[in-house]
Amino acid sequence: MAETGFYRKGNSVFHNADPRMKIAWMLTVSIIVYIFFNPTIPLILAVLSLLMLVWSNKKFVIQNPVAKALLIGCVSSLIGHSFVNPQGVTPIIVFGSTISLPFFGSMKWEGLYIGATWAFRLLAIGYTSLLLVSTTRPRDFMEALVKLKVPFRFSFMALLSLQLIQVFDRDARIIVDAQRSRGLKDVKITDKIKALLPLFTPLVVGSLERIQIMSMSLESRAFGASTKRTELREMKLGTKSYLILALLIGITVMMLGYRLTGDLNWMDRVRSLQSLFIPPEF
Amino acid sequence: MAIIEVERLWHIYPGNICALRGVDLQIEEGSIVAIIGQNGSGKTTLVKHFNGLLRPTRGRVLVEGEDISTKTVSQLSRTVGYVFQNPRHQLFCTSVEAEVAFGPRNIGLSEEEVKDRVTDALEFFGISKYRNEHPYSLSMGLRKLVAIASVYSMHPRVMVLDEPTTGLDHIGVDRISIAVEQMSKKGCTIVIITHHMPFVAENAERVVVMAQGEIIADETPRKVFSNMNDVLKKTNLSPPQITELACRLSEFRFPREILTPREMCEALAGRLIK
Repeated sequence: MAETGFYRKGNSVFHNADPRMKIAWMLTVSIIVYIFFNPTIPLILAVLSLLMLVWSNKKFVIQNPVAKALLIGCVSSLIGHSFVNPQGVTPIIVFGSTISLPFFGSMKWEGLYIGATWAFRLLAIGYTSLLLVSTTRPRDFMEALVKLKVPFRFSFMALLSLQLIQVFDRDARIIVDAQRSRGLKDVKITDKIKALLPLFTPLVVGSLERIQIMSMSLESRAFGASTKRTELREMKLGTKSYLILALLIGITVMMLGYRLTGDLNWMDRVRSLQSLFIPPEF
Repeated sequence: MAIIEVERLWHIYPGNICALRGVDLQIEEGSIVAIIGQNGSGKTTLVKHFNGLLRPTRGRVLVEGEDISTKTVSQLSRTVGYVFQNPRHQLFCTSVEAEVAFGPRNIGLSEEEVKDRVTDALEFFGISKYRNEHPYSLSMGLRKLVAIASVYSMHPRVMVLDEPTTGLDHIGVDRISIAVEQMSKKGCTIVIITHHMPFVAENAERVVVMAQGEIIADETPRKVFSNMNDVLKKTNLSPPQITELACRLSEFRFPREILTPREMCEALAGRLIK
């Protein structure tokens, strides 16, 4: 019943924007979150991208399994780094005592700082990527990649991979239902381990069959026979798009320039939640 | 006595997609019921409630007189067997024998009982000679039989067959027809979802027609195919060609309630003798 693929129909400003603008935004975010090592900049960009995603399609953020996986990754990074990152030295003290886990020791400010940085980087890039794929028709996405001089075969492969993720997800759900109908239990951990084979084998065999049939179908329709492809609809950048592009390039260059003069990293000075996001000297 | 009772069943998928709208249905024990309707009419959604794969948004489902809301799918699989449309989603073992043994082992039967059930199921469906074959090496028709046998071996009282004839040639369809007949003779209740009208005409005792999440007809195949053209039009389905021919010949006082080529031959022979 659910739509396959990431694209969701809509008429928001992001749906109507040139896909190359969205790719440029994604690249800008990816560069900026990686040039500085602190949680604040990625957090701001993650929130901004999330707002854009909610604006373009409210339900997508709640329903999409990738969005849920991003949150799980984010929480794992926060917890994992806080407790086990070897750079962590200063324990977090709450009401006079440390927060500890058996075998992992206590939670450290430096670990939390690193965990938060990686978590928000993941969210920022994840949300901008979701914005791109959920508001861009697959055909337009492929066309944009070709316009950016990516060879057609690679563009097509990228597009197909994005679509197949959700197709495999749907198949996996059907297989789980089919095996549960044959009495397969999945309550305990041991049940889940035992269930791997009955779930994994049909999924892999089915996926291989599907890919084989798809490749034959593509070849039988002359895929890759001609190096020069004509286009039914010409994709052109307007004045607004050029202005946005210039703005994004400007911001990226400015950030790169700023990075050369200072690193905006205050990991060794974090001692409170406030100083986790705002440098203590502010 | 009804083995499955559905009371005012509603199912709404995420995204506010209403698949079932207050469906009421009773399925009698030992009957063969076909559920037909165009794609998206709610057939599969309805039957997925019978073994708990889907849970009602509103309303309730009773199996053997008990509300199944608190039962798990694996508990219900002892009573309601569900054979999926594509055997590829179900089969994973390296031999037919192991595939058929998978279900009985899951419900905790002893090894001896599992062996007996496997032998019985393989013989019942006439696939004993393939017991050591890899299921993926078999034809689609045989794979479907293996899938049915692998559920049948759990001895459920109800068998739900989702599109059992899709992608099968005439011989394959005949094999499934025989399997349905045999299971019914053993007292199993059969629920079939299909778009294959000749299969329905030959095998079903009752036809439930669905459209837009509601039941719009619930009659014998003879009545549905011969006298309910308006209902069928709503579902974009056509009666079997032989029934259509009989309906057209009814202008010449020919009986219109004909479902199979055999019945047509008998009617023609009767006329010639007169």
